Amino acid sequence: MPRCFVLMMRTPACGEEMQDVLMTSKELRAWFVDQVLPLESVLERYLRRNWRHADEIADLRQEVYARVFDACAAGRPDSAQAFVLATARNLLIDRARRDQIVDIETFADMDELAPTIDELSPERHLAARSELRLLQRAMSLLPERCREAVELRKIEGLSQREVAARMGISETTVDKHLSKGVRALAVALLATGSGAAPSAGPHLRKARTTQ
Amino acid sequence: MNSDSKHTELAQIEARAADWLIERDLAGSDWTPAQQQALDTWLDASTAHLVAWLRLEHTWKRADRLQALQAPAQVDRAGAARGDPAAPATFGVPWWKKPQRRLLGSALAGLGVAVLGFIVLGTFNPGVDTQSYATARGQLEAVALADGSRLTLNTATRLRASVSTRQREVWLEQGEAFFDIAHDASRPFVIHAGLQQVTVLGTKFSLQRDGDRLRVTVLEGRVQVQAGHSRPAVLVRDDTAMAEASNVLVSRKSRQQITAAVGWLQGKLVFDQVSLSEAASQFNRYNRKQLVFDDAGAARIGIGGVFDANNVEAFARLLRDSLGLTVQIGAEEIHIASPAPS
Repeated sequence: MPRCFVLMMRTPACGEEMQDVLMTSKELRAWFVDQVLPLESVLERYLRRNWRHADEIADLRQEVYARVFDACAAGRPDSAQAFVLATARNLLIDRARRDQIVDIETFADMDELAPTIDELSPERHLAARSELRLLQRAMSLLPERCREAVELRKIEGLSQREVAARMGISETTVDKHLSKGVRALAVALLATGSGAAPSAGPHLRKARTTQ
Repeated sequence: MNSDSKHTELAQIEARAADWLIERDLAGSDWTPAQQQALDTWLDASTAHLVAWLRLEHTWKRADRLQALQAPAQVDRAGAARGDPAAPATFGVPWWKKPQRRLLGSALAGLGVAVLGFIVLGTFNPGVDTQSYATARGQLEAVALADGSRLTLNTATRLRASVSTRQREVWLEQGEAFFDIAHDASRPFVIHAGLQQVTVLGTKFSLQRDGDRLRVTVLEGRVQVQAGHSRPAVLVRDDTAMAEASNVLVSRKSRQQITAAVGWLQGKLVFDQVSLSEAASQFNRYNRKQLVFDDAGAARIGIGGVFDANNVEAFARLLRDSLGLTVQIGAEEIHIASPAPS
């Protein structure tokens, strides 16, 4: 063999040597998908425990994501999980101040969360084993018509027109079902403790939140 | 509710991201550079847009895995055989909605298994239950046997297992599986793979069958491999063997090489100094979308690294970005070629 190139698709853990390395936008996006999105169930749990308005959780989550993304443009944190939770905590404190909620100090201490997080590890491991089963479970949580549209698109590989014909609806309605379907699927897949995609599962370090 | 405006705004961003995603997905190859430009502009406008998009795009990509359910009815059988509550039967395209041809095919296949099962039960060994397991392309499936042994089926694999109080047997019909066999000296575990036969007491190893060839990789314990009627060869930890016709070729590997060989248990392909064509044939086992080389030069390039077995497109993009190869991603195939001389 004349030449041999070594290609590395991903860096499994963000080691200290990676600190202060400016990430390109592409790397940052990949890091976000690989390391931050799988933490969605942990993040949701933290938010739910510390914020009493359940209907605001999704917004808070998105806000945390945006803050984490912006803050990490300059370099990866040592532990994505500790960073995400610290960001969530700061956001809740900001919100509480703004809304003049008094008991700021009641937010759960990060260390307190450790047992909850450790429980997730075997679950993640399992997730890696049966991605398809997780998807099926998530699909079963979708509203009926959304699920049907997603199935026809993803399993049967039908076009927009074919899905419309099969379901007896207009093409615009197909778009609506799919658009709603992907949002519902994201919640079902990421927020229900099945966050780890197969690529992320076994390589995630055991979660620790000690600083 | 104390942040009405904010709430509505974020919900709208997510809805917009989902619309973009679906629009691009449905457009497929009709997606124009102008549309992409408009999308990029929207994504660049705010981090909130970008993170909402990344989250949904990631989800939608993961859902590609559902394709596996389109494979022949084997998948349903594998799940149903274990009475798995999350088996494909609980959702998905109901069998009555599947095309007629497939329905007929699965009915015939079911009949075949039933008849075979009947013969085995009636003739040789009353009371022994033979179960069939199968995985579709790209699927990985864990199976627990009654004796405590655990099997992991890799992509496009078919096997039957029969465990009774007196014997433990598996027929590997096609594909690759990892065996973590519970120790039981009174019941050797025998695996039949065509003409080859593998016998163990309790150990961890992997078998890959390709027609009449069988590759054995031993992680722990001792494994006896017999090709046809030849003298059996005994393999130990870190040994691999290639059995073909009546020959068994045993070679010793490093721990690292052995671990790499079973990287698929974590959904990984691990390459160390292999040609691109070898790497491609591995990827093609896992993905419906096939890698095709348009010229021999590109196929001979040597590579190494760790890759997600199910993400052939990411691999192709890496070839383009790192090696400068010309990569064309189509619906069925990904064409790879050396860059055109400039």
